[in-house]
Amino acid sequence: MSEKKIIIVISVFVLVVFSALSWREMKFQTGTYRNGWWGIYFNDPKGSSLDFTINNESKPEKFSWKVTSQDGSTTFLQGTENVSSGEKRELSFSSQDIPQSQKIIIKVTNGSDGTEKDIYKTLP
Amino acid sequence: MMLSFISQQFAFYLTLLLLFFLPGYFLLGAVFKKDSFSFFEHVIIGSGLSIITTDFTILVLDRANIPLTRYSLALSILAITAVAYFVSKKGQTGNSSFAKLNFTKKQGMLIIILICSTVFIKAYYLRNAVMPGTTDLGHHLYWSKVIAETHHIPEYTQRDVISRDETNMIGAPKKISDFIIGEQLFYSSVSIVSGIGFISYFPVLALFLVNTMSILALFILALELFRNNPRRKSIAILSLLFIGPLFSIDPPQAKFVAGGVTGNLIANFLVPLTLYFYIRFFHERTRGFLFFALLFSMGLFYTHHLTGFMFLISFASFVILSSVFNFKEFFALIKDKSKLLLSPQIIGFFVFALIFVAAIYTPSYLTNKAVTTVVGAVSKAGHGGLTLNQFRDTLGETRIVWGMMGLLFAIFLIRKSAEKFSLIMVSAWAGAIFLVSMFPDIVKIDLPSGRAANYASYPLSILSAFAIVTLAAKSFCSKNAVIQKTSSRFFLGAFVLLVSFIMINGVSDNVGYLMKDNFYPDKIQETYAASSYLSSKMSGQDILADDHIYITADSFVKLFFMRDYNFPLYRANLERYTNNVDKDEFCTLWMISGPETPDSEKCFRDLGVNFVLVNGKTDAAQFEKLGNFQKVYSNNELNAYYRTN
Repeated sequence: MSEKKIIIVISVFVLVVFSALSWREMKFQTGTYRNGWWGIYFNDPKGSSLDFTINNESKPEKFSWKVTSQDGSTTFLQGTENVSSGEKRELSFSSQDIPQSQKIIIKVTNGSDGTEKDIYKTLP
Repeated sequence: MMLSFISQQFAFYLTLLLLFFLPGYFLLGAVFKKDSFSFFEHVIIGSGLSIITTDFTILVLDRANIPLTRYSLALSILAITAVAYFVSKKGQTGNSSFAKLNFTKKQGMLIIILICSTVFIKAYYLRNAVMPGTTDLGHHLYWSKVIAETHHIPEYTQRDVISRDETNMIGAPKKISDFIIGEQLFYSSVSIVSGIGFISYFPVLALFLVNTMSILALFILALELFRNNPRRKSIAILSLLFIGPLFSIDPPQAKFVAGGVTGNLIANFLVPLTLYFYIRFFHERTRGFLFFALLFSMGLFYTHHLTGFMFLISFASFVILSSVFNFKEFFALIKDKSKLLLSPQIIGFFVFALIFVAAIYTPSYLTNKAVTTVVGAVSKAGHGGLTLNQFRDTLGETRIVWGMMGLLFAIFLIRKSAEKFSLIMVSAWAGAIFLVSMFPDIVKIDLPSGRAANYASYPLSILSAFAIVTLAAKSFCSKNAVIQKTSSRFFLGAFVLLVSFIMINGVSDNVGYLMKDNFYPDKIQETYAASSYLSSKMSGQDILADDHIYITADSFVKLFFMRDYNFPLYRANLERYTNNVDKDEFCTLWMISGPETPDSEKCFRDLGVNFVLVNGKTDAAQFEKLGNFQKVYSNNELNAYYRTN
């Protein structure tokens, strides 16, 4: 068997394997792996705005959210959102109805498995 | 998405061809006659030569103050390739062709099966590691990204947290020696030319390619070492078995690829090629081979100082053993070759090397005098030498047993063998590594013993193959018909048992790794997402502290900021604060572990840290109870807090 044949066969095999691994990595970056993940964050972490974003990199798309006082006894605002997989949904609202000078918690719940996340700020 | 993927793939493979195959392939043709190498050797050696050529070209461009851009790199490499091509075409006479290296159909199939199975096993292991996230890789890619963004070679510096006179501060940049330029140029050249970002598949795949090439380099080295042995192809193919599909994940193989142990992997490709040229110089009396041996040696020192140092020790051992085992012949050989050693081409190389080191680029470990830290009595934990059991665990029983047998055969056969210098070379290579990793105090070398031992897998693979083939040949080739017949049956049975033992030992090692899934692309993606968020919201005055212990891919956080190698400030592994070697400040520990204490509050104030990124499961509790930390980001793994006062 000539060396050229050996080199060609090995090169083609390596190329196919590399392409498969590249494709897999691209899917990791742009899609969901296993159950995926989701996150929430304030659009302005340093300021007093409560506008926030739900970043969904998981398969379930239903989320519910509420803006509450520190002890959770008072709910100022709430809602539900359908956030597609791969989407970042920004939520803006007026904080006129929210009392100042206290810790405000934003709690988001995944409608499918009930997992919760929260972020919070103390308004000036 | 598919179109973008295809175009990116096209750019990636074209870049690999341009940077890591073409220039070396044609340079080889420009210097040597076509029949000096087989096509196989030409491709493999050309690839190693291309890596060195690309590195040196970039260093020259930078020294000439030419910005390192896609066009300057690509045009320079193309120009070198074109000149080499025309010189090689001009030098060709008549129907020149490559030296013949034909394999039987069975041998060819065996080579293909061994290489492809090796690639497949490693690819399966790397299937979840192809998204970059390991610590070493993050550190290397930071500096590679500095080169790509600034278009120049950086000075390796970092800013440490200093605690002095009851004040904490971030110190001035201080030089570091941990990085060798060849490690970063490897990635930055690919990114600059292809346009592909660093947080992608290309770093791991580029390392995977180099690792695969290192196995082929060992194959051609074995063919050359035993060039006069009628069973050289069997030895070379069996070497492929020991370095290929067996123990294909253990360091320094796929685990190093996933871990981003860059310099080691590239150097493991260059070392067999360097030895190839030295042994060819001994076999033939051609200046060209010595020139390239020296060029590859120089390339080694611009890639990985540890491997370069190990190579020096191995080469010194080779010289000593050659003079001991072949006293008369060795010195006659030196006298005979001294004219070549003192030829204008070789002297010219040394002048070129001196000018390059002095005037073009001096490796950081020379400017920072890091060499003095590895010579002398052993001082650090993990540098004191391995026990035999640890050595066996590092390299695998099979390779140790058969490698040692090969070493014994080599020592026994050296005096009478026609391939004595080859046997001395591979024995010295293995012996030097054995000495440094098990008895460093004897040689007064202060290096990580486990890391040094990993190097032995390459020479032991050749020695193992040599032992098995020699044993089989002696048994099957006896002149006594009765002995031959008895031997044939006995050794056939023994050979089947041997192969079974070898395969079980090597394959079970692989299976152990493949059954576990130690890579978490989802967690890595969450670290990227949190880092991207923080880098977009933080200003230049904001300071971030994070954690190395519980954040996956934490070394990649700095790639989103590109402020300093040590930014963000990070809590290191806990023993680094108590070993009296690594850390002499505790701010980075206190700020994450105990943010509520007066000491940590002082650290926050003094250092200006106002953002913190931690693992939400392990380190959230201490921040959630503090009124001056606001949780501004939360995903499945990580929380980020903003400190208000």
